[in-house]
Amino acid sequence: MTTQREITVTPDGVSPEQFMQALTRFESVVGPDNVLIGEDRLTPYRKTMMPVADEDYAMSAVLQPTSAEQVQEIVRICNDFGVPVWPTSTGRNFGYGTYAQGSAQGHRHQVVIDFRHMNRILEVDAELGTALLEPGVTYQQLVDYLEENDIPLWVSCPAPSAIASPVGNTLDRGVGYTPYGEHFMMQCGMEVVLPNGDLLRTAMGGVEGSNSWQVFKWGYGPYLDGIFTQSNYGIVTKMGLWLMPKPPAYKPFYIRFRDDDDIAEIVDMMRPLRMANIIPNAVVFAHALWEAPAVIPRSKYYDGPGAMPQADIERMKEAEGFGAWNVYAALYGTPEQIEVNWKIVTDAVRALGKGEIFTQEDMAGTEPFEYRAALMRGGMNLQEFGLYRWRGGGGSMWFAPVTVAKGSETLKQTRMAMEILNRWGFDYCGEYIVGMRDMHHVIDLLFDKTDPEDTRNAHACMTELIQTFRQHGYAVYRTNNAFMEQVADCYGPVQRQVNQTLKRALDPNGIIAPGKSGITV
Amino acid sequence: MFDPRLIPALALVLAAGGTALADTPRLDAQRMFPSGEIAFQKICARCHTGREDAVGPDLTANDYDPDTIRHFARHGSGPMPAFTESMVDAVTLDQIAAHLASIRKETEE
Ligand SMILES: Cc1cc2nc3c(=O)[nH]c(=O)nc-3n(C[C@H](O)[C@H](O)[C@H](O)COP(=O)(O)OP(=O)(O)OC[C@H]3O[C@@H](n4cnc5c(N)ncnc54)[C@H](O)[C@@H]3O)c2cc1C
Ligand code: HEC
Repeated sequence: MTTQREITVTPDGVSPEQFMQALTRFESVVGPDNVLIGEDRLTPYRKTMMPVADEDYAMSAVLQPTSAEQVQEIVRICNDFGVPVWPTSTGRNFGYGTYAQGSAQGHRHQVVIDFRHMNRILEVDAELGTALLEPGVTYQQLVDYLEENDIPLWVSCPAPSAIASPVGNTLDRGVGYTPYGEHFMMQCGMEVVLPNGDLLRTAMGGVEGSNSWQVFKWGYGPYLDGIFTQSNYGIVTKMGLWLMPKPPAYKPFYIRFRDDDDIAEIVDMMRPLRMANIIPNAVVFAHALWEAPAVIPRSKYYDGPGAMPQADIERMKEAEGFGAWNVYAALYGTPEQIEVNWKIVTDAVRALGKGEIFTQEDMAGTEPFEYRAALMRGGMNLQEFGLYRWRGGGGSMWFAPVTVAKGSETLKQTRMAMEILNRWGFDYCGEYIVGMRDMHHVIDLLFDKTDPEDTRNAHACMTELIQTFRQHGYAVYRTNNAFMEQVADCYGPVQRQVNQTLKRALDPNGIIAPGKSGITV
Repeated sequence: MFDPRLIPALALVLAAGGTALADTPRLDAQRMFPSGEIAFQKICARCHTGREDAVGPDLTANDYDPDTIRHFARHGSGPMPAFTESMVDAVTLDQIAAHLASIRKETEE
């Protein structure tokens, strides 16, 4: 049983006595083994990559429920004792807070739900290409299931693939690299434990006996699924998603461009191909300083302070064969379809008069091509973690402003980001992930968290990036816990008020993830 | 014309009986990974590939006792994230250590 001595922190506003009582009640619901407290068991949960003191974002306990009924009970106990609870599916939100909960300001030390023990694949319909999953199911598990049962469907995963989850990724509105790369677009139907303990099934899930929960997103009346993403209005215990039929043929390819300013022409060349679905997947334009970390440490070409000098970048590009911009895309379909589309793509590159195009055969098993080719068919892979070796020191934040898919815009955003990052002593490790008409401009702000000055600079740099971009009408699509307030402000007071009105209506005691996306009671 | 490419697709429809397949047991209830080797391949070896361009060092090049494996797994190190008990349990970590030791022995022999 839980003893007083093992508890290092309690949630803000909750007394140790109240917290002890709540823990005893939690234990009666999920069993003592599934209430984790004490340094030993919590250590792996508490490491974050944000430029802040991890203690301010440390959870007071971790709960591991095994059923939706248990989650309902947990929520009722939370209401009784005013204990806030932050749900995670697989907790691999690297660069966005990992298992961090709360936003520090008065919302520290929440209890975290770790859904790893709720990991059943509840249904896969091989004909319709749908799945219904519990939150603890990893991409690896889903891929294994499809392979073991010979089901010709592909998943779409983010780069941490094997160790992350479809539910966690989709609920934070993450992205992948196949034609199904905009993950929330491919989500269909949810089961949600509401803050009062009720169990909601969205859309067709509300109709008794319905078999269309995983095929028709909208149901009737207001469409609710959206309000349970990047929010704190409920705890998702089941989620439906669509899986892509495995195409008869698949052709990944790579186009290398020499100059930083080529980004404008790349975007304008690719947009029509993407919009017409000739290239149907979430294409990537990776800068040299994203390409390099996947395969080499920075020290191979530069070991000094501050941002890597341009001359060293050029030397590295030349020696390693990286482009300034590296385009990864793929064709999917029958061999005949691919042949036609390949001609359209190669003609477009030829018409542009720059860019060298390479196929899988040309690249012959080398990285980073291989990992890109794997991701564009939903293959499990962790090669991109090389980013964390680039500079070392364990600090990382994604700065990911939304961009219009127009060349002039990317030129402007890239220059602005580069200037700010370099001035603070950081590299521009950036890429664009292409949507239908938008792009996610994803930059990894890598810093040495073991160095206090580097850490302070990273914090200041992120603040400036968000502010300066805001002045130009840009905002990020997602952020880590330490910057949720600042980012929420970029979206204006009316959105904040509406979010708060919903919060007050659904969760009057503010027990679910207070602070997430800047939303509180 | 008979298209041989249709055979696998047809076989699948027959096998699945045109219905949904469903409800796998909870993985942790039956051990997350059936062996140390499989756990190693599905998680660790994705970074510890043994290739020159790998994210992490080749773990078959040195000896690691179970305590070292456990320490790195629970604390992480640099680019290597920490793994919770719910991701890789203690028994599996020991099995991973034993698996690595057996590879090491093979290469030494
Ligand atoms: C090298 C590298 C590359 C990356 N590439 C990508 C990429 O390509 N695309 C991308 O999207 N991300 C990427 N990431 C970021 C991140 O690691 C992934 O998005 C990852 O999928 C998130 O972790 P998770 O799936 O375990 O989600 P979790 O950490 O489980 O969940 C994320 C958040 O969603 C909410 N949530 C989770 N579960 C629930 C629930 N059941 N109910 C209510 N709310 C819930 C919570 O707020 C939680 O904090 C990358 C990270 C690294 C290190
Ligand atoms: C995301 C990539 C990644 C994954 C997954 C990963 N590691 Fe690592 N691991 C690394 C990196 C990188 C290092 C080097 C750490 C450093 O530089 O501080 C490392 C270091 C180690 C070391 C120390 C090696 C040495 O000689 O210093 C051990 C032991 C280890 N890992 C074990 C494991 C085990 C066991 C697993 C699976 C449970 C695992 N790793 C999964 C990336 C990873």
